[in-house]
Amino acid sequence: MARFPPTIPRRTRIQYGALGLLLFFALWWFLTAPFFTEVQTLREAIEGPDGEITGYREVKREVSSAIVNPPGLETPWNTFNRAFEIGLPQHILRSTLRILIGFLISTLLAVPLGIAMGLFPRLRATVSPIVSLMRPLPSIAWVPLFVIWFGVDEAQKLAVIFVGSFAAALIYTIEATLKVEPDMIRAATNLGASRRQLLTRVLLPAALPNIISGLKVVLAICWTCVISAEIVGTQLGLGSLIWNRKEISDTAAVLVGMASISVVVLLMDAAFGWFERRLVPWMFLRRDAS
Amino acid sequence: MSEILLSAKSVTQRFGDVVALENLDLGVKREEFVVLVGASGCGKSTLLNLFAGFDVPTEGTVTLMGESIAGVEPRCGMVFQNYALFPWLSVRGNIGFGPKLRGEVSEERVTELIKTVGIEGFDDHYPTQLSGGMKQRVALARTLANDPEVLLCDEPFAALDAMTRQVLQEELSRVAAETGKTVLFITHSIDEALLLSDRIVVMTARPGRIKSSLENPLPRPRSAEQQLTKEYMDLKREIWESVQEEVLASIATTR
Amino acid sequence: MRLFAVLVLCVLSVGCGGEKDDNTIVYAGSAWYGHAPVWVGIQKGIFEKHGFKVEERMFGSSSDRINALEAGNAQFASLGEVAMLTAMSRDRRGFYWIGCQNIAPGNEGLVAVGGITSIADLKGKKIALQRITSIHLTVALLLEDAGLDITKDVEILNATDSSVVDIVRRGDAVAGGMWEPFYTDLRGLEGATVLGTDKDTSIYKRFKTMSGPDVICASKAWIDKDSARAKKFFQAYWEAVAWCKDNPKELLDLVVAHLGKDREAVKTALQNFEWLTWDEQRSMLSPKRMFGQAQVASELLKRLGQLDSIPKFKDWTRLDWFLE
Repeated sequence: MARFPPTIPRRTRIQYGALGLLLFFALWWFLTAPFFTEVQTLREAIEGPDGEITGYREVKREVSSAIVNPPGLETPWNTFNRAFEIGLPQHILRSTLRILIGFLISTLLAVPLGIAMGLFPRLRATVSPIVSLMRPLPSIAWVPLFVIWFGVDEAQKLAVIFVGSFAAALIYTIEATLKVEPDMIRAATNLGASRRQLLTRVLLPAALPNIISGLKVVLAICWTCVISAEIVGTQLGLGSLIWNRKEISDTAAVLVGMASISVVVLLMDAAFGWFERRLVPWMFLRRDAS
Repeated sequence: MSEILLSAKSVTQRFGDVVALENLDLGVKREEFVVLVGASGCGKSTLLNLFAGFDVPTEGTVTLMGESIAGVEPRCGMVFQNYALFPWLSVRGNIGFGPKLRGEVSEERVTELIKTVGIEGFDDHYPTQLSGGMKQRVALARTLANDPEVLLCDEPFAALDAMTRQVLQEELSRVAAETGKTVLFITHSIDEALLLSDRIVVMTARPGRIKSSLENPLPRPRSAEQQLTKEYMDLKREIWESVQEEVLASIATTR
Repeated sequence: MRLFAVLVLCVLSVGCGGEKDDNTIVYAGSAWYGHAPVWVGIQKGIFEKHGFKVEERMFGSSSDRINALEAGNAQFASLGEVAMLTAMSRDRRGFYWIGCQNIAPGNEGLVAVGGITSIADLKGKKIALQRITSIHLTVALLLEDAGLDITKDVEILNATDSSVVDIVRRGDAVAGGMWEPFYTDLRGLEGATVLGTDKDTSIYKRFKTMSGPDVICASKAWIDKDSARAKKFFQAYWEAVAWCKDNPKELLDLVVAHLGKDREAVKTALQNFEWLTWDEQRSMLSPKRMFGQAQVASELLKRLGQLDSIPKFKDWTRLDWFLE
């Protein structure tokens, strides 16, 4: 093997990615397209003149059916069309805004605290047990409490997103700080850096790549909180959409909601990557022949 | 000039129960190129860290130009084995790092140093784009940019391939001579010690102490051909046997 | 390596644990009083007497129970009529609507605080309730009677369970609607006024049932496999229902023990329960009662945007059992 890990140019990667998506949609269409017609036998109530049931009969009904027929799973085209029936753009916008703001709050609090915890072992030892206790709690567990504390406005929703993602952001930041090469710090002090200069000119840029890759994951974690965040006090949002539509057995709309979340996360990931290439360009340089 | 620039007197260094150095005395004269050899774990790096001020001796004193070394000492510039370059800065950025900390403008200085260590044309490259040998040149230039009194080198060429290593050894010799720097250099390689040093100091196994000190009689400029002379072989054998004694001693104690 | 093999075996055997014999019937339930007949049937050995084994599994929401019935994860369930009607409107054919085991009006209501004493005063205000459930319909009907349109004249804050009470307590809403035990909690708030219960709605006045009563549904696959046996099972179930009707004091004891709740609270709730026997099912499933109510409820749900079309709910019934 000439090089490990094997790599391909970006353009090729995009082409294969597009192919992958195409295959996925092709498979979806293939499984749900109404190739067959099926004769369904249904019960029908026979009514008397006053509306009372006097008996039942069997009625045959010709329906189109596909290779798989789980309720609510339709062809990609139908699902796509459903999106317009339920006012999807508004839902997407509202959820995206909430997630972004919740994410920012988490980040702005977690990154400084995480760096501090990385630098001060006593602080880390004090705070870590609390974080460990909170970390495994699913965001939904916090909802009733937050309704009591914050009511049903946006603050409550942001709090749910915050509490679902803060611990992860903190832990990633601490790790990133601890992973900074000690010799780099030594070299900097050896070159005469003061404590403040050490923090701003060395530690921060050194830890930044790992902090950013951690935050990428945290953003996706924020999205996993979207349903619990929107379960109370709102009619708008992808989480609210999924939950409410589930209650009325509108599986098609639920799938639209889920697919929307996936697409938005994908786009956000790409955007994040774009930021990453600008904030830490040195992580993407390759070695020249030298 | 034969004034003692760097000195360790009766230095004992303990880490918990481990005694890394015991009652060690060492003096390095101005413009001297001293190479420290010894078995693994004998405390060479520990001693270097004391001179750099990264640690404080448990007992005894380390001094630079007569003053006690208290805290990190930028006048003892360290060159690390794994380069420790700042990946977010370019070559120019790395080299100019020290002066920039003090708010000094140093563009000319940086250009000069780039020329000195021989990496012209790579000014705007980043460390991830450089080979090991080039990175070490940048590291050297970076340390020199601060104009330290002493260069402390912790096996700086150990991670490089033989060819690059040889080239850099010659470069370092030349730069040290040109700039008149005092150098304290650690290595496992006796060949390297013989090539670079004015004086070779052998350390004992742990707890580390100075076992012997030997002036290097080989004439400068030194080259690879000298390695085949009888004088070289005798010297090498002498040092090798001295070091080997310590290696065996340390194996015996750890068994 | 051995450890790994043991772990794999454990995981696989857990997967196999779900095998049931034909006689174990899974009931999708929860901690709501309407499930009491099943607790009675199990604990008093009524199912066992007739040769059936019943196991209750918890499913939080009514729509989840419908899904469980269709998927075969449960064989029968008591659930809210609203979830049943919406599933029917989406042409979900995997279940039958067997009947209605209780009428319990007065167990849910609309409560206001802060000096609001009439429904008309709610115009332009916020009401907290659990959407797309019976309470949603109840409040819609109460508002309708007072000349208000729930979709236009008030703002509904959706919340679940105790959060409804918390929202009203905080003052984020001036009124809240919920069923027991949260209805009692609402009434316990400072300055609380009961604006109406499901007994005050037009549906109750016309059909003498609640806005979205408990209904019994069952898996179609399970019933079609052996219809006679399923009928026998439901007769056994309704025997448990009859027991509930005939033994109110023991029922109270049993429910209190089962739920671990405060006796007085349970007593208040159970007092409103009217248990409907097997023989009464025929008259319940008729236009004067449940069919009429289901029609009105469906129309209301359609106005609220939760249904696209009114389902032909009669097609899901098994009145043939009761007509014999």
